[in-house]
Amino acid sequence: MSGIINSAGSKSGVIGTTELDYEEGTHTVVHAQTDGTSFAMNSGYQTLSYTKIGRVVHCTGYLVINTITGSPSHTKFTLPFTCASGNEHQGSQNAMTYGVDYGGDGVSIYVGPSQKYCQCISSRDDASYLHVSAAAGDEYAISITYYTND
Amino acid sequence: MKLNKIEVVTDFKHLQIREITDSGGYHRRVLAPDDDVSGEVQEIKDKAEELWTDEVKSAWTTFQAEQRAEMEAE
Repeated sequence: MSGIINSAGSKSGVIGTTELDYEEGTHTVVHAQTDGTSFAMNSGYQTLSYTKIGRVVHCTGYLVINTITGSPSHTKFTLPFTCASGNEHQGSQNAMTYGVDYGGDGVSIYVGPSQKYCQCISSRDDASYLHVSAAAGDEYAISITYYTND
Repeated sequence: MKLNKIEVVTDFKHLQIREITDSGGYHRRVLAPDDDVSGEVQEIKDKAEELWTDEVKSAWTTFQAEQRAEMEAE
């Protein structure tokens, strides 16, 4: 494909003969805990960069949890866009972690339908997955792609 | 940051906020019906007041509970 992506405004434009909404930007991550706990991010490591092409959003960034309030049973980070509804839009991708205590075979970042956050999940061989509890000092290198709404 | 656009998405009336940073780039975030908007600019407060009816809030709470139950059950 070739074409023009405007340099001004929303950067919406045309690629070939298809009109696409193209946008780049950042998102400041905060906790999205739903168990009554919370955590604060390290201000130097709480930004995701995103690129949105049509309905597809791709985010990358390195996140570090600074302090914890309560005893979190899971870890949820906000996202720049809400995931579209419907099971066909769910998705997950692996994350590189440092200092994260998990009981499974690695950590995946999962985005569920109609959610504005992603959550950290640890898969296990031939068993149910585990929620990854948040702890001070946890580090995540995140790269995730998902579908949003129009 | 300066508010640039408010998009309303999903059946639960999430407010997708686009802002312009001091450097001219875009910044995005999402507000859900259970979020506190007291610290937001008036335009966002008005939109939340208009769209986040008790019915919408209730539906969102129910959906969240269903999602949690589904995740815990697996």
